[in-house]
Amino acid sequence: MTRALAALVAHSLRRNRWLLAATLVLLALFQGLTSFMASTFQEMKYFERLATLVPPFIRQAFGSSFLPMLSFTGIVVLGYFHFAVIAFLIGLAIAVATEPAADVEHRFTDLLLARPVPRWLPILRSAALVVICAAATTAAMAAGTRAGLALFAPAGARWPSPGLMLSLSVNLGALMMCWGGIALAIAAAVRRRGVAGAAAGLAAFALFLLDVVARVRDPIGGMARLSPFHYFNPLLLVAGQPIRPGDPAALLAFAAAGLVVALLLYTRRDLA
Amino acid sequence: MQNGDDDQGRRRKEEGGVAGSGAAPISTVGLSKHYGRVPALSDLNLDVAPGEVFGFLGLNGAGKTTTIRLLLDLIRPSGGRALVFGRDCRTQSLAVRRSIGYLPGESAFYPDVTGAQVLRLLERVGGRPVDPAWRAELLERFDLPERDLTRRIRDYSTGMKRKLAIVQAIQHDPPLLILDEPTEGLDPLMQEAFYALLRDLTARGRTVFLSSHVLSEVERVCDRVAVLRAGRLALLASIDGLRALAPRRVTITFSADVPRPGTLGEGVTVQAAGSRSWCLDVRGPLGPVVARLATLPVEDLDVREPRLEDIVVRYYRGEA
Repeated sequence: MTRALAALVAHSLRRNRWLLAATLVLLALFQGLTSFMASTFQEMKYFERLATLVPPFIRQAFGSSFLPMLSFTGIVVLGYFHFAVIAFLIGLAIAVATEPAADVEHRFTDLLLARPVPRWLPILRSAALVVICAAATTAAMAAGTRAGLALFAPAGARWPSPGLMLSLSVNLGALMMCWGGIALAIAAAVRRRGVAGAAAGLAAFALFLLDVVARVRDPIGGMARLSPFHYFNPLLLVAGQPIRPGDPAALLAFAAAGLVVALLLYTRRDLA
Repeated sequence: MQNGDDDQGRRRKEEGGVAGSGAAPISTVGLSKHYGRVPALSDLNLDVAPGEVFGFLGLNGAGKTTTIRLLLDLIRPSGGRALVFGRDCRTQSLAVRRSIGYLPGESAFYPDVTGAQVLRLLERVGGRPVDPAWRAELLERFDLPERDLTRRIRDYSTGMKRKLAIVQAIQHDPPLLILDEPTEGLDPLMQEAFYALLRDLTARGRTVFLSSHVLSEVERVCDRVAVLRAGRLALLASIDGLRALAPRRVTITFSADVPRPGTLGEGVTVQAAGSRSWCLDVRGPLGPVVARLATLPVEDLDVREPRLEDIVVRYYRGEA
């Protein structure tokens, strides 16, 4: 069965190789670019001036996590918490995880499951792909950061520590796996990839809003725990706090729950 | 080499234990499928014998594809059970699917992969080794050269996709073939190639379960047929038995005026009778009719065998 799983994973990777390659290159370039920007700001001593220019009410609104963003390290690791990058990577995880629905939509399931292939195998294939994508994207970002710093960082600049880079990568990778798991659960129940992707995207946006609102409105603060974004706090890591093991663990628990639900749904449903 | 020997040994053992077990290649007992309150298939009882080509007929929505999907465990029965070589399609699904080659009714390929990639993937997950010489023969029979296999499927014509689908269903040489509308989209030459392949496969003891709308094709290749109507089995008969159900049409032309025929015996119905020609439907032997004609000035006699269409369409319409 390992051979069949490897064949399915290789088949999916081959089909998506250009998308994945472009994603990895762009992420690495983005991180290289942020390193270049940070180095330029550092050389022009912008960071000292920027910190004094931020109005007090902004500092108050964003808390202590805001200032580290306006540091050399903060700009270098911008991709690990930039909204556009996070949204793109969640979208990528959702796209990869919804392949079981695409299999049904294209009737590829008919060919595949007419063979002695257990029902859990396509689900496990997609879960493996999400893990591979999460690992590859965070590795590409780390490589881009490292290369950018090596090329552009001025002498004496404090590079982000390996521990910080690892913590940010683990956090981001766990977030991708979390949304991959949720999307997988949805994809296991529907016939159209578009439906699965839209539902997962909508859920991501709704739970993001819940987290944002819950962070500023105490009465619903407890509900924030329902949102995976509650467990994604890269700015705290940039501010120098150690990673809270509970955060990636909670994100991976979401992913695992999604995988279990996907397996239960897919093995019991009619594939028609 | 060791692996190849192991594979062949396992395959022989498997074929001995499954295809050669004496159990019917397909057997359904009270098989039913309901979608909510809508019945798609009701109480289907069917046995397909080893080595036969079994035609499965019915209008759109009659339950043909539902039956096939139940056999493949793609959908789950609401009642009854289906067996393939004596194994339950639900509880022993993997073993069942190891003995099946399936041709879906619609194209089931992703458009962005090549034909070669599809065949390779399905070989790797297929559970039965593929003999490269056999696959090469299939590709040659269906005129699919290597340069076509390296093209993406989005560039394939409908006929090429169908040919690729046939090859993937047969490349691992399974003991049971389930073919849904196999010649849909094939040109006449490729249809002939397909019929020739079916003959070879059945000569080697393979069993074929074939769903089709093309009644002339069914008449040509099938040993027995089942007709489904609104999810229920309306008819189960051999092709010869089916022909016996319908009368032959006999048209007689006379060289001079003759009287009306009157009674011509059991099994003979007068459809039209003029002074110079009669049109009769005859069930059973023609002898009594010929004896009656011996004294008359017969100029021409035309006997038309019943067409499968004439019979089956009556079952489709619920007239039989």
